Amino acid sequence: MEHVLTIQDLLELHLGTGIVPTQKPIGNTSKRKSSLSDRDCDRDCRCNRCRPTRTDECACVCKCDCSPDCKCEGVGECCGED
Amino acid sequence: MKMDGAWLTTNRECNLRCPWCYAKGTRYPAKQEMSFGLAKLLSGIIKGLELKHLILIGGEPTLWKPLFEYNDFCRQEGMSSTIVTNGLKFAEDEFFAQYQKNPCKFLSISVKGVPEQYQKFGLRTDVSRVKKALSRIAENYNEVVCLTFNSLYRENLPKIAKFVAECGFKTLAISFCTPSFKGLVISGKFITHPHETAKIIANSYQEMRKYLEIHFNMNFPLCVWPEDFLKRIREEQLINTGCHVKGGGGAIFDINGDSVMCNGLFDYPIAVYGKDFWDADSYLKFRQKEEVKALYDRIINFPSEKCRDCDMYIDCGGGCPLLWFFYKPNDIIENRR
Repeated sequence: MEHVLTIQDLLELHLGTGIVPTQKPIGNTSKRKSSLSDRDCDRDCRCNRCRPTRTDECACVCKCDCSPDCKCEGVGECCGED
Repeated sequence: MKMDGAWLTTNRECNLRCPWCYAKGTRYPAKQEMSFGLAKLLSGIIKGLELKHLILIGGEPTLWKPLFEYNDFCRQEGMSSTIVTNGLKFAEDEFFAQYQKNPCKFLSISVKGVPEQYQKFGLRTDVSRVKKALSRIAENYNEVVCLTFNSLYRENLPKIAKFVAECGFKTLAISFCTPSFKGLVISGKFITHPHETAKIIANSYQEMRKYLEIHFNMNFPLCVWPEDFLKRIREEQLINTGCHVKGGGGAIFDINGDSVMCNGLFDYPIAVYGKDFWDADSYLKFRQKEEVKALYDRIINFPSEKCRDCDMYIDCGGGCPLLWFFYKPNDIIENRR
C-alpha cells in the first residue's frame, strides 16, 4: 500500500527552531505607486492590493493600514481607522 | 477567528510545463478540475467567512471549463475574483471576446520569460502568441505582471523586463522560486541560492528599471539582501513581505474541496471537505482546533535563533516557510540589528 505523507509527517521535516514567535509577523504591504497613480486612486490607501476600479470604487482585498479617510470595502475589510 | 483571503484551485490542466512550478507534482491532468457545483458550494463557504473576493488558481484557470459561468455566478452573489494566469488564452480571439463579456475583477499575470523561453516550457504554438496575449492584456487591463525568479532566469532578467515593458506593462513584480512538494519528494532544483539571487537582482536592478518599475513580493528573508539595496527598495515602498500562512487567515480549497495550508502544499490537505467541514461555521471551528493551530504554529516557528531578536522580523517573518524544508536556515539567515 502506498504510504501517504500527511501534513503532520511533512512538518516534521521543517527545519526551524521549533520556537513559535509570541508576536506573529505581520508583513509589510507597500504602495505600488505607479499602479495607483495609473488608476487615479484618489485615496491614500497604503495597501498594495487596493485597486480602484473604473467606477472609482476602492476594492481592498487584504488587511491594510489605511488612512483615516479611506472608505474601502471588501474582503478582509479595511483594518485601518476609517 | 477572521479569515482574510480565499483561494479556489479550479483545475490542474495547464498549457505550459514550467520546470519550477510548485504544482509540477500534479502532472497537470486535464480531467482533474473542480465541478461548477462544488465551486458554488465553496464560494458559499467563502461568503460565509465574510469574504467577498477570492482568487482562482490552477493549473491554468483560463482552461477551466466553467470559468465564465462561474464569473456570472460570482457577480450574482455579490462576489468577485482575481484570476492567476499565464495569460496565453488571451491570444485567442474567441476566448478574449468571451472573457470581456464575463471577466474576473482582476488579473494576476504570470510571465515566464522572453517568448523563446516559453517553447522550452511547453508552449506548443508560435512564440508570437506570447506577445499577442500579453500586449492584449496590457492594453485592456491595467495590471501588474509577476515573475517567479528561478535559476533559468539567471542570465536574462533585464531582457525579460524589456519584453514585459514592450508588451505595454509598467510594473513587474518579482517573487522567488521556493521548493516544490509531492509526497516524500521536496525539490529545490530550480531555486537559485538566496545569497546568489540577491546579488543577481541587486546587480541587474538598475538596468531593469530602465524599462519599467520593479516590485518585490519578498518571500526570501530580508537579511539576504545587500543592506543598501534593501534600504532603497524599502524607502521607495517597492517591497511586500508576509503571507497568509504566517497570519493564518488564508482559506485555500483544492479541486476536490479539501483545504490546504498553502497552494504549494497541495498534496497534504489539512481538512477534508464533507468530513472536517461542510459550511463556514464548521470550517472556522475546524481551523480553531488545537491540533490545527499547532500545525500553523509549527510551520511559522522561527527558522533560526538569529530571527528571535532581529529588528526586521516583524516585517520579514523569516521568509517563506517552505524554504526551510530545503535549506538549513542558519546557512541563509543572518542577524541584523
